[in-house]
Amino acid sequence: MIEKFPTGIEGLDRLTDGGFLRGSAYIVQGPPGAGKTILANQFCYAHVRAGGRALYMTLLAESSSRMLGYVSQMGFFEGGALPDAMQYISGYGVLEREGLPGLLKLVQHEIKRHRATAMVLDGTFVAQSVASEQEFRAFIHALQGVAGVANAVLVMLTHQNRRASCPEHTMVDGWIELSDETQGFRAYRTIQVRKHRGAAILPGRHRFRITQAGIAVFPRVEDSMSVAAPARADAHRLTSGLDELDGVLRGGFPAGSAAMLVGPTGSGKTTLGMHFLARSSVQEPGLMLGFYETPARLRQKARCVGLDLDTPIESGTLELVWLPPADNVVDELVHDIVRRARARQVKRVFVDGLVAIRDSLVIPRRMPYVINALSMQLAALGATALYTSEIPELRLEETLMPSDELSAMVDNVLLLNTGRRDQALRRYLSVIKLRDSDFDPRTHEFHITDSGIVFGPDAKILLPRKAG
Amino acid sequence: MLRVLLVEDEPDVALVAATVLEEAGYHVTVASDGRDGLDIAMQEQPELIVSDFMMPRLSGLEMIQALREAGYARPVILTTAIAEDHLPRHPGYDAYLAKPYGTRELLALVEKFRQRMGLG
Repeated sequence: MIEKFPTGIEGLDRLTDGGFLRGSAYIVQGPPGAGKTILANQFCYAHVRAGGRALYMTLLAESSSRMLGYVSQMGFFEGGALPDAMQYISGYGVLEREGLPGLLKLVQHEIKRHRATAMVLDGTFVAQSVASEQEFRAFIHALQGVAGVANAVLVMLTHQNRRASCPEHTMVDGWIELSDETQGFRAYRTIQVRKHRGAAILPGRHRFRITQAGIAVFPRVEDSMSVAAPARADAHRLTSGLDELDGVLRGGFPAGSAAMLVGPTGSGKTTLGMHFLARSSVQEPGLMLGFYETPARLRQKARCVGLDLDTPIESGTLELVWLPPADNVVDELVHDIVRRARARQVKRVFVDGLVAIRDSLVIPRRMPYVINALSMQLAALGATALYTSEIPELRLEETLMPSDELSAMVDNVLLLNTGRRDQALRRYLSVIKLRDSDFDPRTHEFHITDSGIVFGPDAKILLPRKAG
Repeated sequence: MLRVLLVEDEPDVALVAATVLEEAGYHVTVASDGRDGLDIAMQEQPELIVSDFMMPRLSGLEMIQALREAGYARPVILTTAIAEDHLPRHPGYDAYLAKPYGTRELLALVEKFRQRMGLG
């Protein structure tokens, strides 16, 4: 079996089924600013940390010391690796004077001289520009041979937008493409493993971020997570936190199920979710992910309706996570929820505001698949999930669900509705769907008091009966 | 005129440094890697060498070591992006200049050695 060198980027290792194959040559392609240099450096330093030796050769005229100055600010940089285990050199002069044959000799010589097990060739397009197509093809072929003989990984960086049929792509062992795209005012980065010989790749485009820590790749959750087998067929029920609702649900939410609370603004979705979370305990730890209200504001809101979230938070049985809705990478977010749920063996999960997740998706059609992947992962952990989704106010006689596709992705759907009757706002709850279970099909009026949700009409708004 | 050998594999750095030194009145020869630098230094015996560290074929330190072994005793300024405390001990250079450097820093250092050598 051929040894694999991890790329130093966890998500990219997942896309490439473990990293770069030793003795192989790869092309990393993308426009200027796409992150090729960071990816290559991150790989080199991870490789050096794992005991390897890396060499970074640039064919660009610009100074690599400036690049090194920038890279040295990044979290993965390891100053102690220089100059022994990691070196930066320029091949530009040799290319200019001696052409591709000279450069090829130089690459061979330098790999041997540094005993490099990984080498980056930055600016491969420069080599292409000084030779004919045929010469360049021979050069790439020879480079691949050099990587094989040296039993090293060779990563060639190029910004040139060359077609898939170009010889270098057919000849190399792997081809990774980085893109920098915009949608409206939003900019986002994607990575795609176009080819990787001898490995089962995760195909298609995946989002990635560049931060001070380096590149982080987030494989699409519907492809990378849905393989988990949910631990279902559990007859256990989890209390909703409301005795009356448990009665409607015939004992509470089925453990390991996912429920959608749909309803218009002010219908009580978040309050119901807080009832669910208030029952967090050592046996049933809770996790909430919110987008619109800070943890401090949520705790205050809970206090106003007589719910105690402070005690479970302070005892560590409940974690509130707040993410402002701007520019989230949904795949990152879902991975993060699952990681947090797994770390604390969470049994109660409340995600408040699916619209923030939908708005973060570049392709909104992914939404049901993303939620399905998340629900499956949580179910596999034995966690019961509640999501909220906002819809316009429905007339009472309407029963049509506004998002059939989405409701098909969860096990349970509860409709929380509002309506005006007798000059007062009233709230109603109906169960639309409950997994493998009977439920009370009636619509129940409820109201929110300083002791939380109370079933039945609000006595304060009951009109006095006319005498006589 | 003080003869300076500039050993630098990065073409843009070599171009800027050589231009600045020439404009300041120095006679500059450029070598693009340590091996060329060693050959030129042995042949021309420049009064001062300004050398990069990480270069193809022969590194700056390997070149300096070979020069010292061959009896070259004139000053060498080592320029590198590597922090000085990560460099090997007793490396044989006389001054360290962190890359990327400004042209004023380079000129000041070269001028210091020129004065120390008493050359006009």
